Amino acid sequence: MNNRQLKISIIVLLLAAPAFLYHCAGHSSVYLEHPVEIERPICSECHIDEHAAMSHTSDFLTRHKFYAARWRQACSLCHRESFCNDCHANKEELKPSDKFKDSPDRSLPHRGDYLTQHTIDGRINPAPCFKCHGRKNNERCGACHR
Amino acid sequence: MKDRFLLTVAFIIILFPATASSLSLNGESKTYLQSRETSDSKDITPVFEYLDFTLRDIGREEVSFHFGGWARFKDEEDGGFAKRETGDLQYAYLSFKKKSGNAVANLGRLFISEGVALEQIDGIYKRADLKGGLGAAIFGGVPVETDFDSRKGDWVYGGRVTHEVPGLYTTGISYLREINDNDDFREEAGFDIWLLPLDKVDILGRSSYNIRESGAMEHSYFAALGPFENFRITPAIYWADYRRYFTSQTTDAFTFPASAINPKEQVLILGSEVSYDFTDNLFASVQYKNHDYDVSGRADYYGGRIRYSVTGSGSAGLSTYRMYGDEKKLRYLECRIYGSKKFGKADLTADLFNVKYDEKVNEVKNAYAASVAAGYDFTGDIRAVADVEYGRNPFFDEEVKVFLKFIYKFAVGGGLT
Repeated sequence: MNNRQLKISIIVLLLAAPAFLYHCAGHSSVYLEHPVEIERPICSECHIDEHAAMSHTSDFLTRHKFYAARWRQACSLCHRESFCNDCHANKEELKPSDKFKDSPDRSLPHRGDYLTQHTIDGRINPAPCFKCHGRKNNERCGACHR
Repeated sequence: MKDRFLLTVAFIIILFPATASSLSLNGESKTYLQSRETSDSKDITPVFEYLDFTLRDIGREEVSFHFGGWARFKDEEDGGFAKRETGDLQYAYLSFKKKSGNAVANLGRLFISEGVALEQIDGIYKRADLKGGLGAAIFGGVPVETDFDSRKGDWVYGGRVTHEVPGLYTTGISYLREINDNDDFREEAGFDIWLLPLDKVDILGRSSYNIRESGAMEHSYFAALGPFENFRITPAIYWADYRRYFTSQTTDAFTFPASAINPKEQVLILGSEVSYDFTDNLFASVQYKNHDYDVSGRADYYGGRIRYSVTGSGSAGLSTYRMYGDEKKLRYLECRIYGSKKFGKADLTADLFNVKYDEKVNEVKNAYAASVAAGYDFTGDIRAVADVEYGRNPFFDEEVKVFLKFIYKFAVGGGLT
C-alpha cells in the first residue's frame, strides 16, 4: 500500500466511523461535570463501584496515569483539560513547580535545581524522562543534548 | 506568530457576546511575570498568558468547543527556548457528545489518551461504548510531536478496542502508527487492564510492543490494596527494554550512542509504597524501589513523607528520599519541608527544598531552593500571587527568581458551575 492509498484508507475509515456511534450501547453517558459539588475528592465516601478507585488518596499521583489512559471522561468530571496541561505539555517553558508555588500539596515535577538532579535520575531510569521529553517538550534539552 | 494569532482569536471569541440563549462560556486566564537570571548572566522578565475556555451548547446541547494555549509576550533571552518558541496551542477542538453510550467525536487539535496512544494531534477522534461490554475508539490526523522538521507527509492513526464487565475489569488492546515525512516513524501495539477482583484490590497495568523492532518495550503493573485499618499498600513492577523503548525520539538525549543510554540495557523495577492515614488530616508514607539492570549494577530509591492538611485552612509537609546508585556520582539525599496557611482571603506559603549530592557537582555538594509565596483572593474568580525563590546550586552561586501571577476565571451564559 503506497502512502496515497494509505491516506485515502484513513480518511475513508474515519468518515465511516460515525456508523459505530449509532450502534452504541443504550446506557446513559457519563456526566459532563460532576453533578454535585465536592469538597474533597475522596470518591469512596459516596461510591462503592469502580468510581471509588478514583479517590485522590496519597498514592493517586502514581496511579493517575493508568486511569487517565483508560477513563479520561472521569477526570473531566472535575478537571478542565488545562489542568492536565499544567504538567503534560507539548511545549512548555515554565516548570510546573515554578507556576504553583502557592500550591505546595500538589506533586509537581522538577522542584528546585532539577538541571543537576536530572543527570542522576536520567542515568538511573531514563524511561520516565522519555514519556514527556522524548518526542515533545524537549526544546530546552537541545541546549546540551545536540 | 501562529499561536499569538490563535490566542487573539480566542480573546475575540470571549469578548463576543453570546448570541444563543443556551450558549455558555467559562474559562480561566492566567497571566504570569517571571524575573530570573539566565545561564549567561542576563536578567530577564518574560510575561506569559495562559488561556483556556470552553464554549458549551453551541446550537445543540451536545456540541462544545474547547481551547487552551499560552503565549510569551516579551522575548529577551538571547538563546534557548524563547528564541524557538513563543507560545503553544495546547488544544482547540469541537466536541460532539451523545447522551448515551459515551459516544464522543472530537475534531481539531486534541490530546488522545487511548492505550499506547498518548498523543497530541490535529485530527479527529471518535469513541463509543458498544453492545456486550465492548467499546471502541479510533483517531487519525497529523501528529504534533513530529513538528520538529516539517509537517508535510506526517500522519498518525490508531485505535483501541475495550471490553468491560462493570465492577470486575476493563481490558483493552490498542494500536498506533505514525508516519513522518512519508516514512515510518513509530508502530506500537498495547494491552492494558484494570482489574477489580476483590473488594479493596485494584490492579492496573499496561504492556506495549514495538512492532518495528519486533519486541516488548515495557510492562508496567501496579496494585492498590486497601485501605486495611487505614493502611494502603501499593506494590508496583516495571520493566523496559531500552533498545525497543527509546525509539523515534526527537532529541539526542535519547539517541544511541550519542546519549548515555545503552541499547543493550533492560531494567526491572520492583517497589512499593505503604501509607497510613492517622486521621482525615494526617497521613504518612514510606516508599522503596529497587532498580535491577542487565548491564549496569543496581540502584535503590527509598524514603518517606508526612503531610498534615486541613481543607480551606492550610497544610504542612515533610519528606526525605534517598537515591542510591551503584556509583557515588549517582547518589543524593533529597529533603523538603513546607507549610501554608490561609488568613481570610490571604494565604502564605513557605517551602524549602534541599538536595545533598554524595559527589560534588561544580564544587557544590548541597543545592537548595527556598521560596515564599503570598496570595490573595479578591473574589472567588480573581486571585493574585507573588512569590520569590532564593537558591544555591551547581549552576548558580546565588539564584533569585520572582514570579507574579494573576488569575481570572470567567463565565458567561447559563448552566455554568
